[in-house]
Amino acid sequence: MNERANECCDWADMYVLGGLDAVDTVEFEAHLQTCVACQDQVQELREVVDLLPLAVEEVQPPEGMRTRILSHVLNTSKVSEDKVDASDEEHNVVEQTSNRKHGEDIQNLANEVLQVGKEVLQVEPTLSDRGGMVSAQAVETPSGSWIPARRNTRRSSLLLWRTVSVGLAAAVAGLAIYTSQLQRDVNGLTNQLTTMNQPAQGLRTNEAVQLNPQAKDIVAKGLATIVIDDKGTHLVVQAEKLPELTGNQAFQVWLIKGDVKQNAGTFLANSKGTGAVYYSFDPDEYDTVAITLEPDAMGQQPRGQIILAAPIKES
Amino acid sequence: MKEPIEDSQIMQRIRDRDQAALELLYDRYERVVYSFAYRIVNDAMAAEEVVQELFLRIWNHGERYEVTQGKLTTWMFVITRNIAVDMLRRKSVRAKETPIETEVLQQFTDETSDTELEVQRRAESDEVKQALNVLNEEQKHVIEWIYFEGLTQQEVADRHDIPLGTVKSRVRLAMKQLKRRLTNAGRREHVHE
Repeated sequence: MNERANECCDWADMYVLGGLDAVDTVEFEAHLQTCVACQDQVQELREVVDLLPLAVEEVQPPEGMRTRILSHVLNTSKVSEDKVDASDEEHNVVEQTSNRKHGEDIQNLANEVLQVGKEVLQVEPTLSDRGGMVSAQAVETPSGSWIPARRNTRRSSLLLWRTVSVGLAAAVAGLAIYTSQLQRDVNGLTNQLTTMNQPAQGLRTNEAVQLNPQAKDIVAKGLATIVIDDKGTHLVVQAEKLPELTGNQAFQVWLIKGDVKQNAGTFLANSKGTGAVYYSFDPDEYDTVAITLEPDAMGQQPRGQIILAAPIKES
Repeated sequence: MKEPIEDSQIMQRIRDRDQAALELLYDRYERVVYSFAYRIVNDAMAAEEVVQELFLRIWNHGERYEVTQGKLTTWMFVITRNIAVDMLRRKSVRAKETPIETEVLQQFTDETSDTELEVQRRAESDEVKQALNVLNEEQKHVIEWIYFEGLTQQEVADRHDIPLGTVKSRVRLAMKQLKRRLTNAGRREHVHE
């Protein structure tokens, strides 16, 4: 164990510069909790790395960026607050709605969208003709990004037409796809209604990764399985042959990406050293899963030794 | 002469949802964080996206910054790098290889009016550039690949066909050189060597 700790002491430079991968980062940060020498070294090295951004060549920000960013930031925070309220209400409504009612709503919505889609399709050619800029290339340019078109005063009129045309073209394409998807949903729901009395179908297993021991004296084995159901994406972490716990110790599961470590659950292994955790998450937000042995179950960030870890492969 | 408002005061006002404070902070650091983001993603639209995400986080999670953590710019640069590197990884767009010495030699073309802060920033910038200029080519490259391109040590070794141990030693020597020139502790160590 001391050898491993000494090895960790050599990682300070790479850690501060950002060159450790997620698993090593977790291990080093756990080591950092107990190594005063590394704490001092990291603090000194941080002073250096924190200065590196000042060495870059200064670049003039694009015209109108200030307005775009500030209005987006201030509007988004307002919208997201409103969304929280709305989603709460939505949630209550959905819970009170039967499957049959849900199917009818989907059907009605699909009909409405079909109607809107037809209306937009009737309008779109006129706009395309006037804008004259709708092409495959023009549609790709915004890349689905949030960034609005640049406000160049000389070209603002043309850009406005481009934006409107591209936006409408994208909207039409989106509505067509959405409508098609809704129709499939309606068909699916219809089938579901006919089989309501049948047992629920199993979860779809999207991916399973073997968790590997992260220290020489660890014999534990683990499996992280990502499953998808109608409520979202979930992580099921199972482990066996885990070290015996003492005192208030507990095992904690972490989802990691860069320096972000999300606590995905705490568990105590049974007498055979076996334990498991179930956690709902967004797979795009993390790239590594790890299990640590913690001094207690209260930690918001990893403090103990990393036992098992593995990268979550992109599906 | 009017004293500039401290960053910590601005952050307190932002935590209190003061929009004018957010604008003040934006105006103070727009150029420097945009430049840093641009240096990493090497694309104007992507750099703007990074800056937007940075200010979204500042506005919505300003409480995560504590004065005890150090300078606000340090915190902002760490977040900016995380966002930018994450974007690079997601989009698998690697910044074009720009020799770091070009960056070191280029002059600022700044036009901001916050004179006192700007003078201080330029002085720090010159000092860092001089320190980077002392590194040899190999050391500059590992700093570039890891810090500005977001590669891990293993990725640097694999991608550039360099033994992992060599990557580590180059980083260690580079950091030692920079520490010697940029921190008081490093200067003291240098004197006693």
